[in-house]
Amino acid sequence: MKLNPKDRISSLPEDVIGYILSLLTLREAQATCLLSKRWRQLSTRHVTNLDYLDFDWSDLLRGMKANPEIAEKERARYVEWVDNVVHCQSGRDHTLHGFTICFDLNFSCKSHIDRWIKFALAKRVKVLHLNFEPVYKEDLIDGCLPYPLGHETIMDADVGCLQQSSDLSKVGLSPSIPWHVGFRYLEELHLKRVIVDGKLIEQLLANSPVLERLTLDDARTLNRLRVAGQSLKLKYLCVACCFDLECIEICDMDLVSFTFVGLYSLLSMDKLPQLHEVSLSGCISILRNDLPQLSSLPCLQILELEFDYSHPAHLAIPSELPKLTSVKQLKLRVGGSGDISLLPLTIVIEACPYLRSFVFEYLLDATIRVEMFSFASSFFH
Amino acid sequence: MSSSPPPSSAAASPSCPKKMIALRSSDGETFEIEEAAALQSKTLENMIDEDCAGTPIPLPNVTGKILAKVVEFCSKHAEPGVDDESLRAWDAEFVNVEQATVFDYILAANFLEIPTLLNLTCNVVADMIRGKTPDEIRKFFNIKSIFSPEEEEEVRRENHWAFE
Repeated sequence: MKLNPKDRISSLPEDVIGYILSLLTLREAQATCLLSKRWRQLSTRHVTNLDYLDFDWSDLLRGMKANPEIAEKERARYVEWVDNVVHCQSGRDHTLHGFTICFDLNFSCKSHIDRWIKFALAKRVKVLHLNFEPVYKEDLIDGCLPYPLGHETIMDADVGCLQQSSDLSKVGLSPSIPWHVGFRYLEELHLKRVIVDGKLIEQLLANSPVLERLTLDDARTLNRLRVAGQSLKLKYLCVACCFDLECIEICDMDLVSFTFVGLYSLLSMDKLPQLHEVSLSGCISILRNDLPQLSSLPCLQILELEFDYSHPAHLAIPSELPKLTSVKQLKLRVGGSGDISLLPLTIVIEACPYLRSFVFEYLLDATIRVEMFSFASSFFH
Repeated sequence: MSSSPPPSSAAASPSCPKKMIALRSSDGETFEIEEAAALQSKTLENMIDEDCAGTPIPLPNVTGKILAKVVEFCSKHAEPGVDDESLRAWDAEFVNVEQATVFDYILAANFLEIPTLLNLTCNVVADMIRGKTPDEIRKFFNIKSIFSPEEEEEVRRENHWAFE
């Protein structure tokens, strides 16, 4: 194919062009198909071979926000796009490193999302991000039902059907449906605004031998969560804004970092010898209810606390706090209206006798994330 | 055969002379580069291992003009004690050149397998593509599109998500 000699870019080696395309977003890379016939091939080949699929279409999200009437149409466009790329890649026998969906999607897109999850698992994905945060804050409470992550999506349906046969149970074999083999490779799972129940998460953890990072953000209906057991490889756990979470128990495992954002949940932490970093955002009752548990953690070095501190919160400060002898770094983020003295908070600093670094952030009349959370959760309690 | 002056580099202490590698460009120019700097190139690293006994390593794919700059880049990146911010600023200046030169650097970095230079230059090209419409990209890079209007319409339709 004769190329214009001034067209240096098209004559670059193919793997270099591939590298340049990988520096662009997925859509930008796809758009190069229109440049020329050669670029049409290059761009298609690139998309087919990509091992990190990041479906980022933030412009569309912004458009949705500005124009609520077209929300359904925009959702459909996004879904069509993902379906198309997934279809493009389905034939190939290669593994995926990462798969990221970030859009305002909900129950209405369930069949598509189910398909994408199965696709990613079949490709042995290592990092899976599903972020379905709604574009309108009001939808957080009253919006369409969020996408529910169900057993049938993450089980291996093909093998499952065989074992569901009652004949197997006659010969003493349990007709249990095996977990999708893809979980053997999953290292990171981040879910935002997905309906998932505690039992499913526990089973997921038990069946994911290399899962190191788990994030559950705005997991509706999640009522109780228990993360426990020596066999778990989980190192980083983040549980945030799960309105229905009544209690969370973390024990007997090698967790390294724990982040929690929540107001009314009962937190129980025990036998966590490697826990190095803890971040708690909630209300001032953290000091009375949760800090004592932290004192039993031998390895805790970094502590971040965030809560609202306006009248009459200062009355809830305990007169004594147990010593956190291993904590070296403390960060206190506090929101208030400047009407009460901050001095009582020094009790927290005093609780860390070996402190080397202290950061204090005072958000005057600002909405810290917990405030918004408390507005929303007041509908539930 | 002409030889150009060696690139400026950190002064070597007299008791411990730095090992210099000789390189020859496609147009016959010879350049000297410190071994530490040369090791930034995987290609050169392999060749040095094979111990070519001091004869200049021929690089038929790189002209003298570009090789001089590549040597400069590798030497700068092998310099000890340069902080990240000043190195980034130096890199930005290094690639502040005309389009054709950037492509020359890319080809040299690819041939010599210098990941830092390849990464830097490919990012420059990606920046050139970003934010432009297909028409603007074509104009910028002199890409000739031989699509007929019907073909172009078809491609646009097939990949419409990329253009909306």
